[in-house]
Amino acid sequence: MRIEPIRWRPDSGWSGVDADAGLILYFGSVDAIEAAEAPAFLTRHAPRAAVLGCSTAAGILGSDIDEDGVVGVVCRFQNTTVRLVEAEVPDAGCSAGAGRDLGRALRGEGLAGALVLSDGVNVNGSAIAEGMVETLGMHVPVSGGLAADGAMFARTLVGAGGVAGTGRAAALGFYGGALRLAHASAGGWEAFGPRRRITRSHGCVLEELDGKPALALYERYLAEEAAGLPATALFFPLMVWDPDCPEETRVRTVLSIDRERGTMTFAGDIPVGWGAQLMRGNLDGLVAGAGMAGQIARDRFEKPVGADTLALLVSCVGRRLLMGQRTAEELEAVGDALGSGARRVGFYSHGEIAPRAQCGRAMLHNQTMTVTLISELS
Amino acid sequence: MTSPGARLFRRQMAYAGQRDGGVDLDRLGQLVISAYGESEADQRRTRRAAEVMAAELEEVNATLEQTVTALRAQNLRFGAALDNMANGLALFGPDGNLVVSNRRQFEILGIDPERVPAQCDLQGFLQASGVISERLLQDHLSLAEARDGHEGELQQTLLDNRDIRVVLRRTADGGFLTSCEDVTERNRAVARIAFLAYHDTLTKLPNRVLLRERLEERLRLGECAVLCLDLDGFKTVNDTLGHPMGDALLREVTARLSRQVRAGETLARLGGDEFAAVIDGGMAEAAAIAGRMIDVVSAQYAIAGNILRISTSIGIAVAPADGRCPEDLLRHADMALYRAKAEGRRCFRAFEASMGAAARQRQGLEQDLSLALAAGQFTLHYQSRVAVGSGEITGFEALVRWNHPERGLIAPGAFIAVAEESGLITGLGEWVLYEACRAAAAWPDPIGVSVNVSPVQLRNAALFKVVTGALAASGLAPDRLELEVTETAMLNDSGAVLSVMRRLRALGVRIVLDDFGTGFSSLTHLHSFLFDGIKIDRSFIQDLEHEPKSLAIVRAVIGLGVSLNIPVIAEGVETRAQLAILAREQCQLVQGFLFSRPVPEEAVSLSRPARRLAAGVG
Repeated sequence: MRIEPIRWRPDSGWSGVDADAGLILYFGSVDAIEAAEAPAFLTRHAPRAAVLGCSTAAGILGSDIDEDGVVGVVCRFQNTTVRLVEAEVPDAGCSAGAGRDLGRALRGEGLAGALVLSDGVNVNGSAIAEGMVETLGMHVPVSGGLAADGAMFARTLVGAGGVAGTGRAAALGFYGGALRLAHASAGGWEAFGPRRRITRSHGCVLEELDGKPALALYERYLAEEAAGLPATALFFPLMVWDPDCPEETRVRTVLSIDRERGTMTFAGDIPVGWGAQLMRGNLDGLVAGAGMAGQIARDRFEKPVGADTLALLVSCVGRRLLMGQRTAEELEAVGDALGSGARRVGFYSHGEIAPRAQCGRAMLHNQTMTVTLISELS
Repeated sequence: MTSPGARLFRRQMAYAGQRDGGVDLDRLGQLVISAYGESEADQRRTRRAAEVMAAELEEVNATLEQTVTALRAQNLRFGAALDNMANGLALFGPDGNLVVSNRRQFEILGIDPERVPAQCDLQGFLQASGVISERLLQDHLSLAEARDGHEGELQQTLLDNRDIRVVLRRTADGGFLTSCEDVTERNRAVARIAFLAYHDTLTKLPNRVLLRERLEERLRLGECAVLCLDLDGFKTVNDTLGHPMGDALLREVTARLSRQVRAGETLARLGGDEFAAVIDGGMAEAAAIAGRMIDVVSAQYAIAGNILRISTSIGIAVAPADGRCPEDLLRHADMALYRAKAEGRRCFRAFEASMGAAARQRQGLEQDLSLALAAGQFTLHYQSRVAVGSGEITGFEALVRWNHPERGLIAPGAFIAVAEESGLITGLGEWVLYEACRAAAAWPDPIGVSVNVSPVQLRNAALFKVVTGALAASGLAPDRLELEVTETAMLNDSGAVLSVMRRLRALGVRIVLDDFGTGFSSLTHLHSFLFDGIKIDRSFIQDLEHEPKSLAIVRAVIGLGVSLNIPVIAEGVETRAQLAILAREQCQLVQGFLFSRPVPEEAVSLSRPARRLAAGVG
C-alpha cells in the first residue's frame, strides 16, 4: 500500500495528485473545498479513485494544521478493493435510516472495515453509527466522523465522488483479507463540578439538568464567552452515563442552541434519567489523551507502523478551540506515539466515530482524538 | 527546546518564516500576541469555572443541608410513628445485621435495649431477651433462614406465658423485616369464645353441642348410658324467689350432680332446668347413678337464708340397645323422662319401645292440630251459668271442641296442653275469642260469655289487641265478655300479666280467677288484682257430699268472696244434693251438667228451662 499526501493552497493550487490512485481522502474548510473544486478536480484527475472528503474546522497533515487549504492523501492498494456509497441525511431524524442504508450498501464479500463521514450540523451521529452497526454487525469496524465548518455549526459538506454537498453521509468499504485496521479514541478531559441528572430531553436535544434549563447553566459558566455559543460550549463538554452502567461514560458535544427555548442540541443522544457532569480540559491533559490514542492504536495494530500505514486522525473541534495555537502539540503527540513513518491525515470534526474499546461496537465519541490505522499485509 | 512553550515558539517562527529564510516580524508578533490572548482566555475560563463551580457546590451544599434537615425531621416523625406502633418491628439488612427496631419490639420480646450490641444479627438481638428460651430462639432463627417463600410466620409462648405472633417478610434488598404482636389477649378471647360455644355460662358445664360431640365419641368405645334430668319444682322457685335465687340453686344442683359422675363421664346443662349425663356402663350403672342423683338433688338446700326443696325426674336410654346415635339416645332418654314426670316425678324411668309409639302419637296430634284451625275443625260449645237465687241464666262459658276428621269430637283436655307446648294456642285462642264474641253478640238476651285464656296467651302482650279486635269485630259490649284466667298465668312475669289484665278490666271486660283451690291459692293474687269472680275448682264440688274437708274449703272460699265482695262460682255441679249444699253456703253462681251439658251454638236457647231447676232449689 502506497500513501502520498496531497494539498491545495490558495496561492499554489493542487500538488501530489496521482492519476492511478485507488482512494483519495480530502479535508478542508467549506470555502477551500469550494474554491479548489476539490471533488470535481480529484475525480477528473484520478478517474479510477474513490474520492471521499468533508469540510472541517481545520485539516490535518502530519503535524500541520491547515485552516485555509485542502489536505489529503492518495492511496494505492495492492490487494484491497474499496467501494464508496452515500446516503441523504436531510435532518437528524433520518440519521438512523441513513446509517442503515450505508451499511446495507456496503455489505459484501470480504468487507474488512468502513470509514464514514457525515453532515455535521443536522445529524444524530449516534444514530448513524448505530444504523451501520445494525446492518453490518459488530465484526465490521466502522470509524470516521462528522464534518465541521470552523466552529460556526451552520453548513458542512460531505463529498463522495465528484460532488460535495450538505445533508449527506458517505461511507467507504475496504474489501480483502490483506487489509489491517486498528482504532483508538481518547479524550484527556476531566469531569468537574456537581454530578447532575438529565431531567428533560428529547433525542439529542437537552432541555433540563436537575430540573433547571441546561442552557442557563452553560451561560453561567461561560459568562461573556456565552456570546460565542454554541462554539464556546465546546470548552465544557458534557459527560453522560447510564445510571445502570455508571462506568461506561460518554462525552457529548454541543452542535447548536436555541436561545428562545433554552435548549441545546448535542451530536448524540441525551437520555432522560442519565447522569451528567461538565468536563473541562487543560492543554497537557488533552495532549496526553491524543498521545494515548496513538499509542493504543499502534499497540492494537497487527503490523508495524511505517510509511505504508495511513493514520486517519479525527479530532474534535472543541479541542482545537481550547488549544488554539498549541493544537499542533496533540498532532505531534500522536506522531510521537505512532513513529515518524506513519502517514497522518485527518480533520477537526463535530464528532468522532470509532469502535468502543470494550465491545468493538461503533459509536459516536466527542471531544476525543480518534486514530484509525489502515494498511495492507504485503 | 522541548518545552511546550519552546515548541510553540518554534512553530510560530515557522509560520512567520519567509521563502528567503527571513522572518515576518509582524506575523510573528500577531502569533505571539494571539497565543498570549489564548492563554489569558484559558486562565480566565479556568478561574471562572472554579468560581462558578464553588458557588454551585455551595448551592448544592445548602440544598443538601436542607434535605438533611428535612430527612432528620422525617426521621423523627418516622421514629415517633415506629415507636407508637402497636406491633413490634425490626429491620435487618442484606448482611443480616439489625438496621432499625422500634420500642414495641423490645417490649414484646422482653429485650433490654442496653443488652443489644451496637451491631448484631437476629440471633444476637434475640439473645438479649430475658423471656426467649434457646428452643424459641432456634425456631425464630429457622423462620429467618427458611428460603422458601417471601413471608413466614410463627406463634410462640414466651417464658413469661405471653403469646406472640411473629411475621417475617423478605425485603427487596435481600434483608428481612420481622414484626411481632402480643396475641395473649386475643388467644384468651379465642379460647373464651371456644369455651362459650361449648359450655353453659351459668354452670360452666358442657352445653348440648359438646354433650352431643362427647356422646358421639363415647359411642365409638362401646356401651354407655344417657340420662336426661328435669328438675321438679325449680320453676316455682324461680318464679317466686326470682332468677338470682334460681341461678344459685342451679349452681348448687350442678355441684351435687357433678359429684355423681366419674372422670371421663359428661354432665351437661341443656338449658333451663334440664341436665343430661353420659355415663359408662349399662342400665345397672345408669339406674344406680340416677338413684343417687335423685337423692342428692332432693336433699334440702339452704341458699341466702331460704330453705328450698326440689327433686328431679330422670329418663334413661342405654346404647346400643336404645339407640346407636346421639340423636336417638337423647330423644329416647327424653321420652323416658316424660314418662317419669307423668308417673309422679322424683323417679327415674328407662326407655321402653312403647314410649316411642306414645311420643309418635303425640307428634301426630301436634301435626293434625297445626292444620285443624285452617281446616275449620274447631267448634265452640256453650255451658250455661246460673244464678242460684233466681235460677236465671247469667251467661255461658265457651268451651272449645276439636272435630277431628278421623277421631271425632275431642275434648280440650286431650289437646290444649299440646297446643300450649307447640305454640299453636295463640292462633287457637284468638279464634275462640273472636268466635265466642261473634256468637254472644247474636244472642237475644244481653248475657255474658266466658272464655278461658291460657297462661301462654296471657303472657303475650298481643292479647289486649286480640280482645279489643274481637269486641270490635262482633260489636259485643266489653262488659259481656268474661275472661277466665288461672293462677299459673299470674306466676310468670306477673307485672306484665297484671298490666294487661288491668287494661282489659278498665275497658269493661270482666276477669275471673279460674280453678281456685287447686294451685297456690295465693291470697296475694286476690289482693293484687280486683277479680270479678272466683271459680271453685270442680274437684271440691264433686266431693262436697262425702268429704267434710271439701265442704270446709268451699265454705271458706265462699266466705272469702263475700268478705271481698267478689262473686263465687261453683263449677261441675252434677247433683241436686251438691246444688242444695252450695245454696245453703250462699254460693251465688253455679254451672254443671245438672243444668246443661255444653251445647252447640244453635242449641244455646234450649238451656233456658234450667232456670226452673235452680229456682226450685232456692
